[in-house]
Amino acid sequence: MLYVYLVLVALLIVNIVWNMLREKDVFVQVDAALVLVPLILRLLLIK
Amino acid sequence: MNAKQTTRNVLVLLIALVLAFLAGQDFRDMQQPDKIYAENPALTRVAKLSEYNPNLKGTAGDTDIYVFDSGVPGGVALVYGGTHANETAAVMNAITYVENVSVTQGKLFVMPQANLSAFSATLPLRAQMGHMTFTLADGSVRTVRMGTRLANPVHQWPDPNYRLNSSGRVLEHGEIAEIRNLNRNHPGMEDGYLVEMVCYGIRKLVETENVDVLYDGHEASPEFRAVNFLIAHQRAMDLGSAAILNANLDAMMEGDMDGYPFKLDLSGATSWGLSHRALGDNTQAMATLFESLNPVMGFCHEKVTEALVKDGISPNYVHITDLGLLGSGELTDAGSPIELRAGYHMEMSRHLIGALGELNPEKTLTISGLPTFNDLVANGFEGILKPVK
Repeated sequence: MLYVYLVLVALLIVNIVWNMLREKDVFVQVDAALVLVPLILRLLLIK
Repeated sequence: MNAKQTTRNVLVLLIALVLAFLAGQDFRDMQQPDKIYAENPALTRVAKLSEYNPNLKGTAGDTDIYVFDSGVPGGVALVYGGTHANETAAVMNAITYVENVSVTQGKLFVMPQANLSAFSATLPLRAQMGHMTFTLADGSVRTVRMGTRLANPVHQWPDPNYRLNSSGRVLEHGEIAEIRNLNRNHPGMEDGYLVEMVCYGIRKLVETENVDVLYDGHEASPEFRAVNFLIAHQRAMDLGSAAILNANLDAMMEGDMDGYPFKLDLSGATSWGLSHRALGDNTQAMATLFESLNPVMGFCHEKVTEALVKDGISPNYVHITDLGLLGSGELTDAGSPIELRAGYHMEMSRHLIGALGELNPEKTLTISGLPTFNDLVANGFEGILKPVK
């Protein structure tokens, strides 16, 4: 089950990064970057 | 995508990665093991819980067990703290044993960090600090980790929506996260969730080593009715009564005519998964659990600073008590300092061990070397802890 959840987190990260790169508004991009932080930490099982 | 857009994208991605790296440093540091003084000459060896459940090997649940074996037949006791890693007085009690105790008859096992995983995280959204520090006489600083009530979700995740655990307790709805609570999953499973496997390891330790009495140290909020209660399995009631009586007699001999505020309660028949019930029912040991008073465990305390944890001074709780809204009335302006709380744990566990031999002479477990309650309160942990090299 852990790996299923990690795959979900990874897909979410890919989705956010994909949308972040296509976004024109820099503030929305920074928002997306902040959202990425806890997801990256969870994917790496740090937090 | 033009060059400007590409540059901006790279910058934003870099920001995310740098922030993740910086934020991750603290969390990674918390996953490093705490340094515990282990140079007590009476210490026989440091065992691992995985010796009793091999499935724990290499996991975040493989905690250290400090073994003091006199080599002389007698009673066997297990004293542990850190079932809930934020209940610091119980941890300090176990550390005090590890650093000071000597055993001349029988065998003693001490576990300062029963739920090791829980020491690698703090309570979310509580702005809780992650450690306490004590400056010793030689100028060195001892740092003691303060964790959380539950195992770190990094080590056991996700929580199942429904779990009928080994004790018969159903974990669902508001209790889903309790699958990471060591004191809800006894007697545990050999191959289950991490915390269930830790519980199983403790059970096998108790069974394999023929533990006669086990002491599980906890802390409770001023709202909790069982503050300063020893909760004992029905087979441990005589032992608990004798221990409380002896503790108070000792206090009176030292001039404290009020004695200790210890009370005794019977383990609830439906306390499924709790150590005093599940280990009492499923092993030969007389299972006990003691709760000292720590305002940090409640919901009305001030910000969880190191001072609050160490001094236990909470004007909020004193005010609530003055308003007559709090039954226990045990928390005053003087607070509930860590030395007092840990001292209660030490006296309670010490007298349980003493009573074991009184009630069953062939089970005598003779320990010495622990500081007295008055020494601990007067000198503080600054005067009791030993420097770690």
